[in-house]
Amino acid sequence: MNSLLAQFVSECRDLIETASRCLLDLENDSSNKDQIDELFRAVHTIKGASGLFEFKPLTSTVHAGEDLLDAVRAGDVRFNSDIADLLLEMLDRLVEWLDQIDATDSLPAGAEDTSAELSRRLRLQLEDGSADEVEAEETAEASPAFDAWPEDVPPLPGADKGLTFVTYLPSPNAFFTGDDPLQTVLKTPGLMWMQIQEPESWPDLEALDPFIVQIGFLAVSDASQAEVEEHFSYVASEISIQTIGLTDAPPAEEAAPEPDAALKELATKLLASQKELLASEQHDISEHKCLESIDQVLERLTNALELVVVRTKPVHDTASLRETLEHWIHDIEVEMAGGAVAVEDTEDDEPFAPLGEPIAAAPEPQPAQEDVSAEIASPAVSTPSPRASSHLRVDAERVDPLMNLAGELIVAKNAMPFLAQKAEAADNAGDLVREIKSQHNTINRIAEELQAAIMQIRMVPVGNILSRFNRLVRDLSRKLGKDIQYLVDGEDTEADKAIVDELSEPVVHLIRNSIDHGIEDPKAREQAGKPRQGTIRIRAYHKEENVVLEISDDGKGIDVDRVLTKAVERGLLDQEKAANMSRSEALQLVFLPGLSTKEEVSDLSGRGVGMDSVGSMVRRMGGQIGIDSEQGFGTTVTLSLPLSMSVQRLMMVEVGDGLYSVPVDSVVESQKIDPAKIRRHRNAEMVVLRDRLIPLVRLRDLFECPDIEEPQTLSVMVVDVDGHESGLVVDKFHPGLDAIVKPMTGVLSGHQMYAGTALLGDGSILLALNLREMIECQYH
Amino acid sequence: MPISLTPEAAVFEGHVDITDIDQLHPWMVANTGAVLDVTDCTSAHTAVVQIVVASGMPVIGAEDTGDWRSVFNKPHSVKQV
Repeated sequence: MNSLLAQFVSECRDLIETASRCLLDLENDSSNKDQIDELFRAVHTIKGASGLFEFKPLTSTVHAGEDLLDAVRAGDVRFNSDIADLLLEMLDRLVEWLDQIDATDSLPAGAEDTSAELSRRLRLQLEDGSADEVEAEETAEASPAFDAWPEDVPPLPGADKGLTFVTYLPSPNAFFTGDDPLQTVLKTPGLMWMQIQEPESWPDLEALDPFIVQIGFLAVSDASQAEVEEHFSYVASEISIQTIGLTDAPPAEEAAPEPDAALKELATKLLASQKELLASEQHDISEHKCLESIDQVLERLTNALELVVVRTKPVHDTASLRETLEHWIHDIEVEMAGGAVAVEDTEDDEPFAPLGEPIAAAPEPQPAQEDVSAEIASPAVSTPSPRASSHLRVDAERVDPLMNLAGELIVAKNAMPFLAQKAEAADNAGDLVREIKSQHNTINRIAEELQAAIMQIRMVPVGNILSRFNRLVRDLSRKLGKDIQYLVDGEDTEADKAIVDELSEPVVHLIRNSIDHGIEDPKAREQAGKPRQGTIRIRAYHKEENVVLEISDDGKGIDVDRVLTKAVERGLLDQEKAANMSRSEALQLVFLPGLSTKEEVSDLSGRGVGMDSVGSMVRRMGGQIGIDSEQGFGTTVTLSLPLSMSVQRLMMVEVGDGLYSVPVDSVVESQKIDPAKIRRHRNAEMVVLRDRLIPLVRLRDLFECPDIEEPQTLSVMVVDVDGHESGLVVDKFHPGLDAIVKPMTGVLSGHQMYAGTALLGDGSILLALNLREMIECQYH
Repeated sequence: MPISLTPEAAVFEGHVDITDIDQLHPWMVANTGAVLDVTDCTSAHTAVVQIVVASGMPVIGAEDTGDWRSVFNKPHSVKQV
């Protein structure tokens, strides 16, 4: 996939997220004009960007959606849940198509049919919505479904029934591909009127490059939109088509489109064609000449839109000019999207100062180091732009190698103590030892800083995924006839991207469970004295070195007695154990495989696999899961996950002839105990430590190591697993170390006793123990 | 030759193609006070129309034609109804 297409896919996904969020917000408050505008902008940008590629079905579909939204924005069509459903369906199709483009660089088979059908339904909404309004306003002759009549276009016969209006901005290098845009326009079927659109200003005639297209065209036809589209099909990405209509009554000021909408439309097209030209290889004309032409177009565009975006320095070499133009286009796009690109004073007036009025209100330059990301994003500017530079978009694939490098550095660091040991054994090696130790300290510092820096790059807000579930809640609650609101607190809480990505699946399970099992239907809630609308709330926050997510609902809660009964019925525990279980322990049973208290299996949940897999997923990430519930009042599931799955602090222990590790976070304390203090009950061993009864797990027995003589003191490492302490009896403690634990792969991947492996400085393999599995194995 | 050039005027005849720009452009730069006559012009390439529009030079023979030649004069539009 070429980089432009990859960027298109990535940006479209972000825009789809934005559009989805706006749609869901609008369902709650359809009068929120800001949301409508933001939604329109997102869809409009997708359409504009898609025109750069040969994805006509995608462009057509989004175009239909954009037209519908434009009518909503203008107040011609009232936003309702049918429109929301349809637009969400459109976004779903887009996601599917983007997935396919991601995989194959092309749209799936049948996309044209899907697009035609979806576009038809979107446009039908336009007609339906407008029909309502016509009836309401008793203006039978006017059709509000038409776009507003452009100022430049004179009144034409048939205007009351709607005419097809074309905006055509040929590619600047259209002449080199044999196009003659004027002839194309003049041959438009049913052409009634056309006009040349000049740029804001022309360069001196001598400096004018006559072989670069700098004019655009407007045309009105009484042919159908389909006929006109067909006529322009070879330049589909360079045109936009609307149906315009003229009513006797002048349109209300509020209903009129933004006065600069057409200009922005033109500018977007123009920018797209400049980008295309920049990306294309120049053969027929001098590259520099072509770039200079783009430079002039951008300058005019900047002036026409009255943007506060300027180039800073004259550039004479081709490579620098190309780079500067790319940044300039980016800045214009940001500015047009509503962001503010900061400027600094130009050093020279020529040739880069705007042709028209001098730049006004340029902010004071700021020290470049105040925002490194801004400098990375655009070397031409120094003051951070609120939208352009507050976030640095980093391709995860570029960061991952850095992560691996950091891992290698840590392995190298770990090698140093081994070297020091070897050197110590040699004669007169004192100086060498000191030097190696000093170097080790240096590498240690660098490694820690590098790790911290990379960690920061990888940190993303959990809100990135949590905001997506709004749609899930909406769709599922509708399906089940429930009324549920979805609230998120602490969406800015950050965690490593890998953790945030992995969070999605367990959270989906939990939300599904809340909707299906937890929250009652409105009638039942009313009878229980609760508000008809249920609430699912996710609260995210940092606690020590973990990110914590609390997923709570105000549903009917969990019937603990029923959980215990089911567990006994299914043989998951015996009656005696069930009778002695605390409420908290009983609630943990919901994480056991095969336990569901829902009698009826639905396609949402109720198969008893959800909570079990949630627990497994969370533990696989090195996290912990807890649950609390009060019958009649709701349930809260708490996920606690490490901020990062990368470098971990481990404690090393020796058992038999092997070295094993456990995460330092799980270690409560390490003790040497007298074997005489061990108490035995049936087959279990335990020891009392500071008034706590700690069950012991002898790892030598578990690993079936050969018997040895009982030592005078036992080395016991007390670990905390899901709130329960256990004492691991090991042969020897070793120092802690930082290491990257990688999951087991291949034939070992199914080995539940180990969480993964880490590479030691001497090249040997360290096995990371899966404490939970190990302790369960001991008891069962 | 579809273009006849004198210091006072450029006269377009028949179809004026993009290749004629090579002659027309330097002539325009050198004769900014001249006029363009499109009375006998049947068609012109976009590049030719563009350079005429950009030059701002007076065009004769386009007014009141009601055909495509109207694009040479402001507001550079053609109404065919």
